[in-house]
Amino acid sequence: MNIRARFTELWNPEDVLDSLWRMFASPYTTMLLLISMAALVCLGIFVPQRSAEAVADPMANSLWLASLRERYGSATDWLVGLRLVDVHRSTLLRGLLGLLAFNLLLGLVDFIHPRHLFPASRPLGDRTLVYVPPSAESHPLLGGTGRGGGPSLAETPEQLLKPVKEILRRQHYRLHEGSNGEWIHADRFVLFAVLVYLGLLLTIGGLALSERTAWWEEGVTLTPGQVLPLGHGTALAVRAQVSEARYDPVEGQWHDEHTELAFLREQQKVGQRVLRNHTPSFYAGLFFYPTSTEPALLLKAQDDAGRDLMLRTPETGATQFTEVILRFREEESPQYIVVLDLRPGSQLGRQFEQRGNERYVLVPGRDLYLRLLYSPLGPGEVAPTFRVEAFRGGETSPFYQHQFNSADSAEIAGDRYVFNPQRYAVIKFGQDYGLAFIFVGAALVLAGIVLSAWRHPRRLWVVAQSTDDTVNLQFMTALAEGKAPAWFEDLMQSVTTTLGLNAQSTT
Amino acid sequence: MSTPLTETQFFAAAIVCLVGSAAIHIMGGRWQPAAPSKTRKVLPSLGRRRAVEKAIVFLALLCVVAGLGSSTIQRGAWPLITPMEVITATAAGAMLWHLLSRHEHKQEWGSPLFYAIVAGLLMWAIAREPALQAATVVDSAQQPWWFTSHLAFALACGAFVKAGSLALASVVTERQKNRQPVAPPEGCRDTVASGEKADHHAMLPGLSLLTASLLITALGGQYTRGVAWSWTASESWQLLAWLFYTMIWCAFVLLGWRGRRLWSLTALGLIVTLLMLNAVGG
Repeated sequence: MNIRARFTELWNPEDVLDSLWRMFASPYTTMLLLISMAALVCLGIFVPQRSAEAVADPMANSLWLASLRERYGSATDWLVGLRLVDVHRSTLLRGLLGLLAFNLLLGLVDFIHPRHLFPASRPLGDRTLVYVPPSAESHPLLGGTGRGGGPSLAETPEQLLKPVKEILRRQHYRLHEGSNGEWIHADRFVLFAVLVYLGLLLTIGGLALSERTAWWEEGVTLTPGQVLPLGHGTALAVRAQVSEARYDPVEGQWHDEHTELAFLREQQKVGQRVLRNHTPSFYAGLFFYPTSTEPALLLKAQDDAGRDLMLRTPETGATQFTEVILRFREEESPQYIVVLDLRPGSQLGRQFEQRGNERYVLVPGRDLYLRLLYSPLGPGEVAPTFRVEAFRGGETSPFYQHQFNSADSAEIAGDRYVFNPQRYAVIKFGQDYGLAFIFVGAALVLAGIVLSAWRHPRRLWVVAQSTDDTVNLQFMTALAEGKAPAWFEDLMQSVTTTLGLNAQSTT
Repeated sequence: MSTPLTETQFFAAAIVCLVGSAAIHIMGGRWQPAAPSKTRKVLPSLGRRRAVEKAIVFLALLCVVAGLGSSTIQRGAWPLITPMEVITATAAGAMLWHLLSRHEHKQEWGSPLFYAIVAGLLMWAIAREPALQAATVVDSAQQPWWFTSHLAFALACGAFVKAGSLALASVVTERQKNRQPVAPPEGCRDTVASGEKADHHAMLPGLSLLTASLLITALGGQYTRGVAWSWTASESWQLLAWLFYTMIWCAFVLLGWRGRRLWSLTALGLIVTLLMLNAVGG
């Protein structure tokens, strides 16, 4: 029987709601939804997908679209118009997940209470094994009275089902009886499939919960002593107590990077955690991840009378400070300067220039600016190197240069500049209650698949039907390629042997 | 002064073993049914031939494990981190499932097809750059997670290769049988029933292992980076394969599909597996 015929079989024009239920709860629908999702994932692999950064930033988005147009030409409009570049965030994928959840929910209900699976509403066709009791009156197990003149069973199909139920119970089948007592549904090992369904439902629920409630703050920098409100209604603030790392000159790598965080509520310390690399910490339902610890330089300046000089940086704008913290990166900067060729008539061209590991400080009262460069440690070196270059306003050549690798001071144009190297922590924090559901759901799916591989779910229906002078017992189960499964044959053997019935197979 | 064997030499030895095993299978299958009585005494029995075949596959498995060990020792890091090692581990996983399987590839070219695919995987691994630097890129804290998830992944792919090759052989054998109604000699060609019994034995553990691999990847990503899922090519291919094999799970376990339809899907899974391996191993 082909798939179309199977779907036709599920439809009963006399009961549309029941038919719809069966259609939506069917494993065929599950298969259809799974393969549709696989096709969408496949699209996401072969068609370039717009990143979240590009969606959030119009400039990044236009650059990304320009690069897509260079690669795909006029097909770009099609890809963007059909939203094939946003498959992972598409309504279609969400819709399919929603339908799958609906399908699994109905399937789960059918597993728990298989009311809609009663086969009497469907054509029995080639899935029937008929057992006719030839001399039931002489069989005590079947309630035979030995009165002669016809079997007493023919009068009561319920009586015929009773010993069958006993046999099924002995084999640990779960039984559901029909309201009129003329049919029973029996299943075994369906719990394993239920685990898979339940796990998938939990996973999809977790995804939905994450989508609606999760939030993350990434790339948050914390210098020692800095207090940062966490926001998002937590009424918490965090202060970095210590940020340390040990440098191994042989390997040329930083080790034991860790940051101590103090949690503050209404300026009172309420907790403390130590963040170590690649290990999360939890506090008040929040995840904290250390991304890295990076070098920083604390800079102060005083004139010859000991008064603080005001300083500013391009990042802080017009605001002036008596002390500034400049943040560098241990690795090569991931930031690039994009140079676009926008001359009229010229073909769109662009090139990327890597931004140097450098920072600038302006000294407004002296009409000079400082350029500070950081050189990460190489193998064999004992400390990272900072280099300061001082420029007068409008000049491109430095009039002063100095190099240092620990706390140091320098006299530049009659003023004293104090440099204090430190380390700062880059952290990520957030909240995602959906993760617990996703992981528990995935674990249930795993358990269900393992157990169902060991023992497949078994289902069968037994219908007792009275005819003129006898009672037929019909045992029905799903057939595979026109054959009954081995467990069904074993069960039939057991029933026929115990009850002494004659079997007539219509398969 | 002795020179230590390199992983390439170990893998080459494993390929030779697989070719030998395939040759024994083909020669044994062709000679035995039609062999005259005198020759039949000389030729090993079917059971003994299978034992020899399995022993050679076991030798090939040992060679691959030794090669993996050699590669790991050279790098001084956790195993199964580089693409070459993942592909090789998949070949080892396939051989392991083949040895553990109680059902034989009875189709005339079922076993040779399996050996050819596994040998192809090993050649693919040899052709790849050793990429020692690839392992150093992975942070030491992430390496245990990578190892665990890649181990489950490689065993899953091995199971899919085993199930897929058997299914492909079953589909082709059945087609040949339909064209040629004369029954094939016993012990040389298989009946449909034996394929029915065997076709799922490796696919279902494979799906379990792939689920475990995805779960470990997500847990590891969440633990070390705070990102459970990131839609990389590798993760997307794993998800695609998982969706595909879950569909087969529905067909097999819930709907009771057997025979040609299931074989066709499982054989198609072989292509999905190789593409997934290319993405993860690449």
